Amino acid sequence: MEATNQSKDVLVVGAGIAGIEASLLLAQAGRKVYLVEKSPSIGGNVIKFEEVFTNLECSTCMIAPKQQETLQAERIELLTLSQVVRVEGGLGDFKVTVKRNARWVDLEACIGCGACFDPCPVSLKNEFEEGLGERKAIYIPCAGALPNVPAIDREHCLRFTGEDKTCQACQEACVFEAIDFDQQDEELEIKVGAIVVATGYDLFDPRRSPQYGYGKVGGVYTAFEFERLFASNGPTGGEILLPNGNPPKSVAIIHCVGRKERGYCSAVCCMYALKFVHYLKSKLPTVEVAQLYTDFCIPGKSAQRFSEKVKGMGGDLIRAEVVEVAKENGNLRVKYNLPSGKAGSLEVDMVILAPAIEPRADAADLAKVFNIAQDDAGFFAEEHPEFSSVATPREGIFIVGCAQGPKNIQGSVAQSEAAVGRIISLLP
Amino acid sequence: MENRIGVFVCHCGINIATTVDVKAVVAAIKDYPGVVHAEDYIYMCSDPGQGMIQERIRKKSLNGVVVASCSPTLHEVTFRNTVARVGINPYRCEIANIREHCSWVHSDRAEATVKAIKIVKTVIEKVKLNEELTPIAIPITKRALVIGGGIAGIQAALDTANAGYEVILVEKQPSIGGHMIQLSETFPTLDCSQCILTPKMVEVGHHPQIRLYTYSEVEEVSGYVGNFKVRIRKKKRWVDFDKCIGCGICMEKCPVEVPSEFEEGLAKRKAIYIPFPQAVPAKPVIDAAHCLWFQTGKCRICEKLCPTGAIDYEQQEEIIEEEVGAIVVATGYDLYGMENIGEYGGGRYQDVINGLQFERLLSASGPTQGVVRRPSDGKVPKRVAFISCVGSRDPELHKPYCSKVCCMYLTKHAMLYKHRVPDGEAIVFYIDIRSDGKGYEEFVQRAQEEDHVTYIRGKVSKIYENNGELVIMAADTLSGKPLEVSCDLVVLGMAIVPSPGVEELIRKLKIQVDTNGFLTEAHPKLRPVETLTPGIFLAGCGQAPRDIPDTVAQASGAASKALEMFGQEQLHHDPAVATVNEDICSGCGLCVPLCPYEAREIEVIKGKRIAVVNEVLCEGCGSCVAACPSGAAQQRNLQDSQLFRMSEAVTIK
Repeated sequence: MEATNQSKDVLVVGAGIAGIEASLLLAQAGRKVYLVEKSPSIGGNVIKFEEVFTNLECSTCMIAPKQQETLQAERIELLTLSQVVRVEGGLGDFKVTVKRNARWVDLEACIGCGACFDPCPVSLKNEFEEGLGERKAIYIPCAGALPNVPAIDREHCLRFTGEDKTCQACQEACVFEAIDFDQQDEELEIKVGAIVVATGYDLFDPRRSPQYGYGKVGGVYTAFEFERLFASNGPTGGEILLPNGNPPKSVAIIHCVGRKERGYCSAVCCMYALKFVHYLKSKLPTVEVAQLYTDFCIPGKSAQRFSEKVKGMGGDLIRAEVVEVAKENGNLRVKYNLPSGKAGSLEVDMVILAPAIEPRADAADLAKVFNIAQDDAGFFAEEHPEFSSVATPREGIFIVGCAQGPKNIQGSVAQSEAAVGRIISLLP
Repeated sequence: MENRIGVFVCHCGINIATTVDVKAVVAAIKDYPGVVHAEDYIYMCSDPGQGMIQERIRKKSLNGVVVASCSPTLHEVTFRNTVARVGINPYRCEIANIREHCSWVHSDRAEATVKAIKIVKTVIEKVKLNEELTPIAIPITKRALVIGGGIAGIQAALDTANAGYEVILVEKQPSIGGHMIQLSETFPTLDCSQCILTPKMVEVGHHPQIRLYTYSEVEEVSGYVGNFKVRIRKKKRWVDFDKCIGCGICMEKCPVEVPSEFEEGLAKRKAIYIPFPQAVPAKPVIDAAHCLWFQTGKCRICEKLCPTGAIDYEQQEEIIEEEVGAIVVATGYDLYGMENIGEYGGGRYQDVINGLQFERLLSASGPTQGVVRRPSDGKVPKRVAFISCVGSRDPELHKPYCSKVCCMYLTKHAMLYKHRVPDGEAIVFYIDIRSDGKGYEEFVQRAQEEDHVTYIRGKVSKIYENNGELVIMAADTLSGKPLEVSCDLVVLGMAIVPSPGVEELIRKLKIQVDTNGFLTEAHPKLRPVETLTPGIFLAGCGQAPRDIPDTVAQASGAASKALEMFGQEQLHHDPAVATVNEDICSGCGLCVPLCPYEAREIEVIKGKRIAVVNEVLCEGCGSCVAACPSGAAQQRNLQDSQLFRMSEAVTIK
């Protein structure tokens, strides 16, 4: 059966580990891929981590070659700072409209030397560093971000906010004439045969559960923030430091933050909490660490061994039900109830929260654009939860990675591979 | 050729730079003979790092590159591609491993730095004598072998076949379907398992691109990626499938009854049997171990009654040879034997059963038509205990890992039991509830809130029989109190273990398993469906305990890897393999049995015995090179001359 006008090209939305893996595999199988990424660089959340469980492999080393291959693959057309705004048609014949925002830096001319950062008069908190570091209005999110070409942040650049329409500090600093204020936002029309939605996840905002003190008392961090505190390319160069500049002496890691509110288990937190214990104990051997958990959820064939290994490094494991964090004598007091009903508490100087994985804030909008459904929790709904977890009821549109539900890297990669298998099988 | 070598030393963030003084390494190497450039950088594998290497190659006309960084298993390919893009033969680029071999295993910075310098020097000496090589091209047979016909194998076979490629599906049981076809309903949707699986089984049975060999086993695998040769042994089934019309008269009249494997021993089958009504193929086989004719020389009733003359007591085993380019191993799981846990009385007490047995009790097509009746006396049990982590998470005595699906299927069991017996009581004993999938936590909550299933956190120490009741002794670890609960039926959530016989298969395939017998993937994060043997892929519980959604996804993933390969015209093999100097080779043949890849064999060339090398099979392990008494065997780019220079670089001042 040879249909006319059928496109075998594929659109992949989101350039985290799931989207990258799907794009590379499709390209290797000879397909043209359009990889659309909202942010200025690719790599998603995995590049925020220093190491990954369970083998404690360097995360950057693991993903950097994949990012590179993505940039170099002839068959992958990467569209950064871009979003899908309209999808028409069906399997084999989708017409997709992509809005590409201007970067105002020429991808070809720029060599990523970074000379433009210093002269930029605007400093603000760097979202990539979870606000723990600063960046300029012309910036790359972190050392090693790819493509290694800065973007100008239209929300803050004085030229675009109108505060100083004549500012051209970056342009003057650039010896390669890569800054181009004439670049325009544009809309592109793409024809593809299938679509892979790999838009990833957000973390539950712990401010929604005020008992944890996040945002009110100092020394309470989210998992992402702590990852950046440990990252060798992070704001502290990998030193675990409290706001007062000292390393913590005692740390409490609180599991299941937002589990009740969201109504599901986020699948990865117990494992990364163990990894955090390893981070802490390897860098600060005398630090005391306590984990407050509800169920220890570490399935899989290598997880138990990792857990035993980390347990061997010390630290307490407390099964606790209600947890509250408050400031006390300059330190943090973590109060909890044991399942037996007895109350307990401990004094620490750092608290790390493991917040639930939740759908991205714009998931509802994306669901409308792709005309796919969301499940009760807001993740994209699959065709069949058991039999067809990467397909959607809309033929030709696939969902992979945490956009479909919380999962670890292996699960995300396996789903990407699965979606590619289904696509090659549907559009041979 | 005059050597113009560049040395690039990576910090790997803090991974190397903390323990090794990278600046000192650069300083010590800068003026080493043959080196014209040396430099360090924070992440050499990053885009700017690679760009820097390319820029130096151009500017300083380098013709050899040493990257001092992590293990070559990680980034050899990366850096070889980097240099190739600016015109250097990739085999003139080598990795000096100063991370795994140095910074990660040492703590003394001064000593580690000295060692790093030595490592770099040896690799410089190697590069000096490295030849320029070209990869060996290999043709591809665009046909796949799938081993195992459970849900994983079925999905992988269908995906591959639907993409237009031929698939050989081998299943050792008389029917495909695996364990999933035994299940009653699946969590968390409570879909009828047979209803969702049978259409796929039928599709496999009728698919023009799938050749199905049931009741067959893989006998021998030779060859290599793209070009495997497989011998498949079709067991004697004593029924001619071409003649059999599947009418079933033979089964009705067979006088022998034996416990049915499909019903997990809870019902009987005949000696000539179809495992279950929806079997694919729906044609019977004779179980010779129980057939009266084979055991006593009398009977042959099935032969007399068969309307098409399909019974053939003279049938012989058949060996079929197939050529394939890729292999998907989907060998599945088994449950850890209940007899291993003596203190729970499984196998001793009739009413202590495993999860698959309970599935059959719940199944509408099962031995009790879906009415929950306990095996001992057929009574409907009024209190049922479900015990998780039986044999799992027990590194001292049993299996150290978590079996992943038991929390969920025991919850499902408890829920379905309550639907069938609303006035009954369901108690789940657990250690941690592991509900880490979409809709799973909600499912557990539903069991607790809507179906009033009781959850007790505690490890069961013993089960004993008392006046026809089973008494469970446990400790409630939440309240810290010991407790005893009597009940009518106990369901054990047994650990998931690899299928029996898989050890033999992996030896034939030359792939690895971990200490627990699960197939090992090439990389735990990024290459979950590949093995380290090119062209052999993994799917399902043979690789690790997992649920149906993950299994299906992994199976489609394995198919995509095969399809990716079939999309190419040819494959490429590393040329750094063994060679033989025919003038020196005496034809002694020592190397032939030593080669683990069957790449060496004796050939008579111009009247002289020569141990030749099959370059495509050779993986460059070096066994033959080390064994060769005359030095005729040499490994490309790891010649004796190179090894001597490499050792001299660190031993002679």
